[in-house]
Amino acid sequence: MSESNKKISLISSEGEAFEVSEAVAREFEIVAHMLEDGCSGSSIPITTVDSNILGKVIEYCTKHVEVGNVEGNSEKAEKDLEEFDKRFIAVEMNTLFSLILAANYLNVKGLLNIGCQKVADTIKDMKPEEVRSIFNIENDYTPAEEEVVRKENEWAFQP
Amino acid sequence: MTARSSSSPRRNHQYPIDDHDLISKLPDELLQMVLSNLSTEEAVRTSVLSSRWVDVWKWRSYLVLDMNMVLDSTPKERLQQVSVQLARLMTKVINNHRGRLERCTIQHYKSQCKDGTLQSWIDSVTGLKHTKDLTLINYIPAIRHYKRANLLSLHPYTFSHHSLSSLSLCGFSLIGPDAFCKCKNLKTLNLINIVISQASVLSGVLAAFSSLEVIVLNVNFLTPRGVLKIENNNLKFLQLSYLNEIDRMEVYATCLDVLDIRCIKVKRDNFILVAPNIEVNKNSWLDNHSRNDCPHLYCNVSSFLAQNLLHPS
Repeated sequence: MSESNKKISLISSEGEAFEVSEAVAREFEIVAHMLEDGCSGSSIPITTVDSNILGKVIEYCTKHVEVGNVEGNSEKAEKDLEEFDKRFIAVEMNTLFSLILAANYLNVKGLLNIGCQKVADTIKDMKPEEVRSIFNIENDYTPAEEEVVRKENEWAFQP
Repeated sequence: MTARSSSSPRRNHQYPIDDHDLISKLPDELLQMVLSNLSTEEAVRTSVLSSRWVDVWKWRSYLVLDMNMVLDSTPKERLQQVSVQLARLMTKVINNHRGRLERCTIQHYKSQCKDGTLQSWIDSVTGLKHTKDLTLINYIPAIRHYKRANLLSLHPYTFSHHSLSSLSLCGFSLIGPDAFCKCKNLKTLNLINIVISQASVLSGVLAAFSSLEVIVLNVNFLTPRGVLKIENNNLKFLQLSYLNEIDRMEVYATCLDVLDIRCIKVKRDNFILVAPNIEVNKNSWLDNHSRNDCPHLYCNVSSFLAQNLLHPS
């Protein structure tokens, strides 16, 4: 595309501007749709995402655009990208959930997937009590209520 | 997907969610996305976390209900009893699930064929949940006696629901084509470890599915004689992974793009293939003298299907 050098500014909730190439901005599907709808402005406010998280999402998209642009996408490049994703998503809980919410809002599917996968991996193989403590989930069931739910779903609690 | 989320109830969060409990604050759609990365059991287990979670799993788009793990560690004499107990719990899961299903896999024991449980499961997941892709696996203990494999006796039209597009059956004996009547929308049929009385019955079953595009056959005939005839102008992919001895095999498939032969016991002159898209040199694999167990794959290389098969992305 001839406009591949075009720059777009994404403005975080604090008003900080992040200048990115159009290709990177288009990784945000919400931005891609704006551009297709004829939104010609060169700065786009992302009011629900703060600078810290927006910076990270841009970092993720930039990496994926870079690797996508390499001619003859090799297996090695794919491996590297996998490694990058793994490292990228290894963050503390607060950041993880902020990234998931931002990826959902901005419609960055790849990031949303690895975020949800990361949460699922954390839940996997854990006892309910452990899951509650990891995620600070308060058990609002009475013991009797919890027993009813457990009984109703007994199939999943087979030893 | 859209139907599912639009019919999903917006829960009023009457219960207070702790400020530090970030996960419970995620909208239902995102929680469901998280759970879609878990096995069915793991997802169902989240229901006990707190009342926020009680219904989240119920909207997942696929269910895998498997009793194999438990049956594997059950003494033979208790298999039936244990399976009936498990089946009751599996019925609860199916009944508690809400919305529609893309995929459903059920692994069960022969007792559920006999007592009608399997029939009611199929009726629920197709009639109520509009499952598109259904897999039924009959638990067969490690040593396989084909003739003792278990009879799949179902009502006529059992698989006729318009949403059902892919059906896989594993480990059954089939009698006649009744259950397969009016399967107009079925595109994929996998018959794995299936015992059928004779080849002509299988021909009848396959003839009932006029819209099939993919057929995978791993079938044993009780009477190792007869003619297997597949005549289908929508068929694109045919895999013969095992067929015991038959007199004659006839395939008339004008659109066939892939023929994947793993093992077939039929004499060369008795294999009739009319499939203009692919070039098959029968001399290379159908031989009167040697065993015909050497696999062969024939593709119409220009077809999309073959491209995907040869160069999976």
